[in-house]
Amino acid sequence: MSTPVLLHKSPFEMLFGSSPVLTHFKIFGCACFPFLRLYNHTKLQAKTIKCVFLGYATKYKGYLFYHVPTTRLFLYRHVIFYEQQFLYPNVLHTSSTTLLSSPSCSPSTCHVPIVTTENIVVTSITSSSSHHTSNNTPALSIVSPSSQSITASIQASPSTLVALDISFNPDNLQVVLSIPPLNLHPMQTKSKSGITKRKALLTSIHDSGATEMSLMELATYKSAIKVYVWLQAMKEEVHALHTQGTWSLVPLPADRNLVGCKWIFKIKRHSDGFIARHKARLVGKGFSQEPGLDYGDIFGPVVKPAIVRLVLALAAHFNWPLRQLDVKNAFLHDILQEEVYMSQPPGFEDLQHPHLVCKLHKSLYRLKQAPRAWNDRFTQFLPSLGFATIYYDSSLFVKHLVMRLWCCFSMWMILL
Amino acid sequence: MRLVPIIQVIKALTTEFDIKDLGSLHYFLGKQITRTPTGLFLSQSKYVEDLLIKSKIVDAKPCDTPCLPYHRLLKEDGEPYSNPKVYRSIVGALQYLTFTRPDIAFSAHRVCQFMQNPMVSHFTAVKRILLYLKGTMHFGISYTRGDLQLKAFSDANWAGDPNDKRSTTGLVIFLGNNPISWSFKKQQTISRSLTKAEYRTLSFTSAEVD
Repeated sequence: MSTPVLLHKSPFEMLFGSSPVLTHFKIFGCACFPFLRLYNHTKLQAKTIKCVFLGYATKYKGYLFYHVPTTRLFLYRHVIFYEQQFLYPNVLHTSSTTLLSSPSCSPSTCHVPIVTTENIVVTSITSSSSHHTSNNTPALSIVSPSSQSITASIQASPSTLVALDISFNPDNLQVVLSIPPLNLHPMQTKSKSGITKRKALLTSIHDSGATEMSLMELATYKSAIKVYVWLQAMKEEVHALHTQGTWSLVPLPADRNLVGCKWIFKIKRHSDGFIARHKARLVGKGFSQEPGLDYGDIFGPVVKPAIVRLVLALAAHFNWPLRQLDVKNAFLHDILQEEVYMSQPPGFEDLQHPHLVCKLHKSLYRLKQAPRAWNDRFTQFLPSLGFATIYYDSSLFVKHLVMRLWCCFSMWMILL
Repeated sequence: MRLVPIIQVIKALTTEFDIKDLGSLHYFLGKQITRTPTGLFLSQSKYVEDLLIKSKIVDAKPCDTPCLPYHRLLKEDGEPYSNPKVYRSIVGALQYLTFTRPDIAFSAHRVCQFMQNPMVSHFTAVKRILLYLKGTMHFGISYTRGDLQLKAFSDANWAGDPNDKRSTTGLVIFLGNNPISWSFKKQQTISRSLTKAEYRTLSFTSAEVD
């Protein structure tokens, strides 16, 4: 009780500095599923059955339950409560008020959050034989609960864990029980407990899947084909490849190797994290290429770090202007020297000719010879602009001009 | 005036390739390049930052040196490290960092030798390099105007590797006052004297200058 004397705090809070933990208080009479392994004789017996929550054990940390069909009382710690569900809805008020008004639960002793059940004692069964027979008939559900009032009580002796010392003491407590139509089979099923929820895994996919999957970088083509944005991205990519004339459909020669291909999905973001666009890219499975058949030389020269630093040092010395250029889709425009046959892209097969394969004219990402093909094309083009490689590094191109301005090109960057 | 030929070249390239002009050079291959009044400054601070986030030591206390003096790393040294993949990935990143960081080149060279079978003690050495990087994230190289003379410096530590007793060559090459090349490399053969190790180093360095 909070009082003005104690600054509107309860005595417990003043004494211990924190408010009492009340999470283990449950609603009396609610349905619960205790863990019954200790009470079972064989391991094939049910691990739990639906019981009624009665109260708290005095000498143990645990709860008391009562199972109606077997008229047994249990005491155990590990329990799952269903506090919205009551086995005896019309009795709820009587039972809870009776329990709360029992003398052992007076406010003075309640600061320790265990209600004594020394003499509390509860519920059940005089007319079990009558309702057991009637359980099997569906007509029972129509029978009004009050007609089946049962009065009983069980004395719980906390000294033994298997506390089943039943002695009738009708004066202590009066409980009216309504009997729901029970299946007599001891196995507890979801439908018996009234649970009709779908599995969490399925619900997440069906309900919120579409929006989430457009925000994820998917790993497989199968999952991406269901999402609209990814499908559009794939269409764009295939269209771009067609306009470039990347491949033509031919039958696969008998002695050639077929290279697979797959889709890669990437989300391009702005620097602030917002999605710029969805990018689907068709890549070749380079690992399925056969040497000699699908590729010969694959080494693509790259610039040495020392050369980059040398150029930068010279640029600093002569105060050259430096420019940076980026070649878009560098690997997609390069003409392949070798004959490479690739399977048709998944999802975009030619319906009239499903047996044909793509003969690649231009390179794709992740093919083994792609970097070399790019290097060939670039190095063949540059001399037409008056650039020449230097002797020490074939990735550096130099052009001498009358105005003492040099232009240097490297594989990946362009310095001027 | 000076930019005219450049623009001509860019135009010629654009007709042949699908090219995007990124303007003046500021960031490429993970290196930041900034112009200073005296020249250029090269650093990889963003790369270091990403590496520290990747290896989850963002909040660690920085360290003053990248490795302990005379600390020998043995091949079979106690427990094997539980995640060799992570070790290789981080050490590979350190190797790339030596592009602008000669100060960690030697430490990186040492931990690189245990990629195949990393031990816990080797990973401790890697962590020390990362902690050093944390304190010196914004270090880089500045290129300034000077004479254009090549100068090379070299040294060897005789039988510096306790595992196979081979010596290590270290060299730096300067163009004027700008360092342009450096490397640490274990020598191919075992030298029986320091003089021999140093002699090998000299020949290696002169070959590199050439």
